[in-house]
Amino acid sequence: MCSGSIDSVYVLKALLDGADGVLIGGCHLGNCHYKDGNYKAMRRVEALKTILQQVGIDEERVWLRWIDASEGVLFSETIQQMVDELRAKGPNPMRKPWQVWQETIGCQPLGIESKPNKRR
Amino acid sequence: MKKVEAVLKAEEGDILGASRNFLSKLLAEGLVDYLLVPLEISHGRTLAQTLVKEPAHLDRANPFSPVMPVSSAAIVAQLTFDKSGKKLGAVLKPCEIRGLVELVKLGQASLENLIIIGTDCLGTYEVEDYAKLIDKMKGTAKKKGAQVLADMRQGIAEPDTKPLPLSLRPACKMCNSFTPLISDMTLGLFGVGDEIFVSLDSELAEKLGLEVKGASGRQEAVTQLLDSRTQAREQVFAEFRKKMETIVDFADCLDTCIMCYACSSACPLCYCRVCFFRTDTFEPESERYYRWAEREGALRMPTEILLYHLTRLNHVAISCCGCGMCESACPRKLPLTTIFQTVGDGVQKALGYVPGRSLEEEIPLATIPEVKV
Repeated sequence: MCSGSIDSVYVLKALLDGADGVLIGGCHLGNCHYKDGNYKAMRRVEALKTILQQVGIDEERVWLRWIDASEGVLFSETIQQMVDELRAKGPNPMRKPWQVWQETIGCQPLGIESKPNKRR
Repeated sequence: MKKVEAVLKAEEGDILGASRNFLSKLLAEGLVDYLLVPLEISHGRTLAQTLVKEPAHLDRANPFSPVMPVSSAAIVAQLTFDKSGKKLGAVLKPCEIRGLVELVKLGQASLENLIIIGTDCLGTYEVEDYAKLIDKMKGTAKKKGAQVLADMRQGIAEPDTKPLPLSLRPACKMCNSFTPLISDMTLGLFGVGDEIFVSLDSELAEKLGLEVKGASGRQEAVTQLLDSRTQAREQVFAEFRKKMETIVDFADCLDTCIMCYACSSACPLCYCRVCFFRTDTFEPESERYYRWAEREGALRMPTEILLYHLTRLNHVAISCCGCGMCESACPRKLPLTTIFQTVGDGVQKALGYVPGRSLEEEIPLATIPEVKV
């Protein structure tokens, strides 16, 4: 599957179902069979990461790397590196979605008339 | 064609009357065959976007409608997507124009044969609030409409309606783009007295017999409002950003969501023809739910609340035109305006894009970034 065909919903679904990280592997820039699929992936991942970061989800759990089908060594090194970094981060809080909903304190009005919103 | 500035004199301060005459002329002179404009219905208790063919019906029109039950961006898309060739004039608020521009870029609306009549926006009220206000007022429906407009023009930054003080919709309170960015004609109210500021093609002005004259106070009035609104906007952004530390903070904002999809129906920019949340894409066999419940001992149902809103953010935030229809439609009044505008602002800045600003600027997700290989 072309990296350009990855809708952000696939990445989100994995993260919200508790995956500690998501790797999107694409062909190197300039090597796209479909001309610009990987460029599209790049833009989309950039947008996705900006959004994640703004809603309190660690955007560094999403990895976009250029790895050719023939680059087995690079692939294995990337996975190793990813595992190391994710291990250091600890588990994704969404591994326990019920706990997340248990910790919510409900929505206070945000913005112009808002009051300070303190958790416990 | 050269754009000129002109004014429509309002006899005895009858702004609505002057605007209605002007719109009637557009139809009568054949400049447009149809007009899309808000008309008072239910004895003035609310207004509805109406496609008008007969000028006589314009005696109920209010181009400066104090309510926006739906965003006309989506309606214009409905009326233009198949390029019927009909000459349509659409009276649109600035946020509706921005939405329309985005829909044109997404290939879901067309500007062919369309005349955009943009209006200065004084802000809008929630539909249910406005109906309550009208019920409290005395007099004829026509008088009530004119009175609300006059009250709103009195204190533009914080309009004071009588006898029931209303609060503008959250999106309007933080809106800093209240004059049309793109339009064929603009009907302006900022910084003018008993008249309406019009900006239009010189030829058209001549044809309609308008007095060409600049509106001196407009720029000043716009700048003043811009300052106070930008401040309000930045405050909303700052508070939201401060709060968003973990996923729990985001879940806080959505804790009472009932997954009714009202926000996506109301959003003019939710562009998927078929939303996969309304298909069985995320409806696995029941066995899966039981397994998920076993994993942690409990499972919140319905399951995909966060996924739904995050997916919508991913699709829409870059083009979010700030109309706030999502929050107005939400039966739980979740702070969707704040979420979408703040996150939207972040993504738009990161990708260097301003939605609705120009027709030439492509939506970044569809463009190829320049990168050194």
